[in-house]
Amino acid sequence: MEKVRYERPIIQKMNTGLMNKFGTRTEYEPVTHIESVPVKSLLNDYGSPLFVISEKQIRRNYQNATRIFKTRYPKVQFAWSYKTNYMNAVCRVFHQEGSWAEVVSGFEYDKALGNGVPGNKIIFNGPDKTDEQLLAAARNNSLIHIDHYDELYSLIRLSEENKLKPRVAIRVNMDTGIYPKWDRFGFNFENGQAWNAITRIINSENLELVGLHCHIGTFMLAPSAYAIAATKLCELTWKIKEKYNKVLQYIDLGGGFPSANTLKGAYLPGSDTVPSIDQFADAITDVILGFGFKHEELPLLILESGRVLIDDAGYLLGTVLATKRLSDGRRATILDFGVNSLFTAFWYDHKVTPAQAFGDHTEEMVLYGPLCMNIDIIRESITLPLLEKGNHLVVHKVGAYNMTQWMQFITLRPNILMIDLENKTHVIRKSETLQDLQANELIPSHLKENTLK
Amino acid sequence: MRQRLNTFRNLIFPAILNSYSVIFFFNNRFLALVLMLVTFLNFYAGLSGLLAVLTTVLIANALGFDKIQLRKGLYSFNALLTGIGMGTFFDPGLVFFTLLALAALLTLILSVTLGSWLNKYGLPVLSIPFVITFWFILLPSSQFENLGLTQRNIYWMNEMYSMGGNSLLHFYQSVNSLPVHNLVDIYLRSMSSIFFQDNLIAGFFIVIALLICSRITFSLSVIGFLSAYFFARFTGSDTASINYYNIGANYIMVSIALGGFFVIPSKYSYSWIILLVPLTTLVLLFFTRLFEFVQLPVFSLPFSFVVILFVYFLQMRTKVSKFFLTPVQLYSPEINLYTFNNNKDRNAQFLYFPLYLPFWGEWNVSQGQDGEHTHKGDWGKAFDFEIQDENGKSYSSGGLLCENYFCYNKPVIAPADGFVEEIIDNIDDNEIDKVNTFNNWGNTIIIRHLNGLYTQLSHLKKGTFKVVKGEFVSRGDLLAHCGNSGRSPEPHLHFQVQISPVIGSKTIDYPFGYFFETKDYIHKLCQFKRPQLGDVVSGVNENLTLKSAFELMPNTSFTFRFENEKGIGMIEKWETFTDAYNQKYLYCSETESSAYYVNDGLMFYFTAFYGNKKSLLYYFYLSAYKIFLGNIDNNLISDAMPLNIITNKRISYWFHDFIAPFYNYMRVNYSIKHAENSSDIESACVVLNSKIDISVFGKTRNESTSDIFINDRQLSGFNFKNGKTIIKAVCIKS
Repeated sequence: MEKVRYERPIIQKMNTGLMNKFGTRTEYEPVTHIESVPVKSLLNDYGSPLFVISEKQIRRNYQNATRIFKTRYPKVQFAWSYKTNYMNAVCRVFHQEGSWAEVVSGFEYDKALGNGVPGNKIIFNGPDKTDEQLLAAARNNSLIHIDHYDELYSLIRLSEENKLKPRVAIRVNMDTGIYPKWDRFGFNFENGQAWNAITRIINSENLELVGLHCHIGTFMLAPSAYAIAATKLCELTWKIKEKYNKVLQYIDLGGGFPSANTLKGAYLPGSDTVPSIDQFADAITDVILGFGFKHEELPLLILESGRVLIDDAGYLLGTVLATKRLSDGRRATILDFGVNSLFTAFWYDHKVTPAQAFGDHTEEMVLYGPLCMNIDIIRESITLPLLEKGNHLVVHKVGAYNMTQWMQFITLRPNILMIDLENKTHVIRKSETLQDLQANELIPSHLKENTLK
Repeated sequence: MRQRLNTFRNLIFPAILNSYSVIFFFNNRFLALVLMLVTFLNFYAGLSGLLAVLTTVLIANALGFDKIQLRKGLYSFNALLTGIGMGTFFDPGLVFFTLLALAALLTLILSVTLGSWLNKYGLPVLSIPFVITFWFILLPSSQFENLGLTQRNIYWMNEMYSMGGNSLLHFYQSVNSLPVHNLVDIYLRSMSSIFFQDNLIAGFFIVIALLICSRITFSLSVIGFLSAYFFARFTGSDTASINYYNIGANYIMVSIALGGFFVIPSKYSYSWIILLVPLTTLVLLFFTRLFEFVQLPVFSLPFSFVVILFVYFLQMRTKVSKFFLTPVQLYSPEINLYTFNNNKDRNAQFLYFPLYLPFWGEWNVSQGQDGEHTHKGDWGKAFDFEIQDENGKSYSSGGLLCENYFCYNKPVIAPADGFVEEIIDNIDDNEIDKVNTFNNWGNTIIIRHLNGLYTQLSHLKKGTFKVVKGEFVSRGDLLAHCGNSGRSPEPHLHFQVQISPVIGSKTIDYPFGYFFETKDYIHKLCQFKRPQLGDVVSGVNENLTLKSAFELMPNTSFTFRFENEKGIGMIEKWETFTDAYNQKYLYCSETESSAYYVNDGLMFYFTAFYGNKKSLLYYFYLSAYKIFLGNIDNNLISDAMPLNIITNKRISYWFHDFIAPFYNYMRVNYSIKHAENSSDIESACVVLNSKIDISVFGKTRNESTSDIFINDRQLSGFNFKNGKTIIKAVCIKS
């Protein structure tokens, strides 16, 4: 029999008011295992904190999303959004599942090539593409999504000089009835800029316009916005067919589908309020199928979803460093990971669960990271059971953006682990060492002598 | 003048040659020349044979008979037999040649009239015109005083002496008295007697030529001979039924005709001839005794009688699963056999109208044909489909509502082009696990694809129909959404093919044209197959670049520039035509070659090639034998080719011919793939790599490789490489 756990005594303020039949106990169950691997052993073996990615969940998410779209529309292609999580192992799981690569920089482009993605299955987005990168993409027959006129002119010049015929699309921005309106990327639909750019491309002999792209925003909560975006892209496609007798091959609606995380300031948890992928799929495919294209001229529907496919496959495991009481009486818990590792803590109220059994009592607390910075807060207010030094915690739905936007700040970045389909563990990125970080540092010769005696 | 020369070269000359070889059912110049040489061993017989053929061919050509039949020698081979026969039996002279001309005319008339009469029943005329003509000559011949019966056959040594002197005579005698086995001796003499001769040299030449032309014909001649010989010994009818002529022109010919020419050579045909040769003995003895009354010899009448009778007998079968009649006569047992075997594997595609899966994405077969729940009896050949997740579940969150089911409300699309025949759209969805047996089929649509080919899609969702009754729908058009109406305890799609437009008609067994079966991440292309219970299937998307490159409209033509094997620049032009049977083919007039093809919208494939095997069209036939016009991830498409396309014939190939009717240890495999990864976004330029491999007992060697280039959605050229032959063809006009 397991030893009964000691819990320190607490004093709780008595709340008056109507009785609540659910009481105040936490709704969370302890999460002791991830894909049947004990959290405790993971932390023992690989150190704390630790990112864990479930390969099974990635594949489940991908298959679910493709099933949802492909049973509604004949031609669908997902392209893995590299910036969401470009750990090579993660990318390769997506590529194995059939996903193309969507990259937004030369660095990501090279990463995609390195992951074995054929050039013609890489979509090159983003406002920053150098001449060299444009040339390489054109030579590899990649799909280049043009963001602005300067890029368009560069590409025309480069393809003329090098006798190339790159396949291009333009990024279109538009009013889809949501706030904020994203108009800093691409060419605007409403003011005619997009049509202008299309005309230029069609009239240039060296570019082949193959599709249209838009990315209307991120963490979109309104399927209707996608319906509007799809309508506007279909209108352009139709007009191009009518005017230039050219059938565009694809419509790329970008990403932006939300994961089930809870945005800061949201009243209800994300899992209850976020629309399902089915709702987005219905909105998009209803528009395209109803637009009147001939069966064989239906454009390929490309989706660059990132977050919704990876977020819930990622976990961050950590350990309680200390607990203390703040000046206003609130309980504060200090963890061994902060916003340096968990960047998305700035946006989300992440779900955090203890990784061991606990008693009936809970208390409200602030979760702080280990940084020597005031902003290092994981959760400003969360009700958790009584925690003590050495307890383990699991942060859920951290697969998106953390492993790409994390900071090497004050501390070193931890291991990233993947649990495969047979529940075997693989380190997919080793924790950083001092040598790693200093490898690129150079010391001027006059500073080489150690002056402090 | 030039035109006459052309007629001679392209029609008269081949017709004369084929008259010789078609006696053994070939159109083969080598065999023809050997046979012609053999006939000239008896000089006057050979000469009168040749004259008779020439007369017949010229008259037939002048009168404008069918050039194709004429060219094949079908009108004139009887005249050849008559001519040789007359030359053998009568003395040459003015009267003789006059009679010969008349006889030739008579055989032509009989060949044409009897031939066309029998042709109506799909039967050959064989040597009946020769037999009748000869009777017409033989009976009155005693009336012609100036026509002398020849004595050359009696004093043949004198004749030979006068022709070639002593040396020829010695040679002849030494060969004729060679110590060969008795059976071999009889066999060779029998073969020579088909041309009214009786010597080992002629027999030897004929047999060697036959062996070179066809191993199957040779082995059949031996089997026919042995069967006849041993049956005669067994019954003791040797003296009456066994003479060289009867063995050669009747028994062996029956064996060749029915063992490998009119039927596809197989173990069945080989077994049958062992029975049929004794039967021919009966027929022969009967006719011999019968015609003795009128003093007529029966010649090859028994052969013709038995063969025509038996072919007609076989034609009357209603269900044929083995022992097939030759569907398209290619004048060689080997080619017939290999082509037939090849078509048997491929012909599913000719028989069926391609239907496609009526949905998008991956669905599971939840009940297959003759399934355990409702696909019973007359309604057995139906399919039920639903969507399952990776764990094999068809629903999420409890599955108590229709909306929980993955397939519920998913688009249902037209499986092929057709007219909407019937729509029922007034039945509400059932609750889960309840069935509506009153309106069994639920909301249903019936589409007429062809007259007598209807598809029915049932259990759809009320109010989701996007088409109306009478409307034309194209393949892939959205029809309605999947629902749970009718006898449907949970949402699924019911699909069946029927021959009548009535809702709930009995089903017919019909495959889907092209679809993918997914297993362990591999999408396997299935062609004209019936998906089975539990299969995960998905539809195919067409590749518009390939589709437009291989959509050869009538009256289009291609002009190619290439260098032939000798490095000489050549131009070849191909045109597309459609024949009387609605079969499409590419025709090259320079080389008189045609390549028949089918394009069913998703597959372009050649079905046959006739003509010059050195033509560019032939190389294209080999290169583009089968091209999938859709998108496929693993890219590779393969198909079996007939064995006779092999150019580099090794000993193993020759030996294979002997046992091919029983067992095939050689295979010719064609495969093709995209040079680059194909994707749903098409590039206007595509390169396809194809190759032909030959496997002998599982060991594979490469026969040829090709690249096909498509530029701007049009065929722009191709390369073909076979050993040292390298052809690079560029399309300069299309």
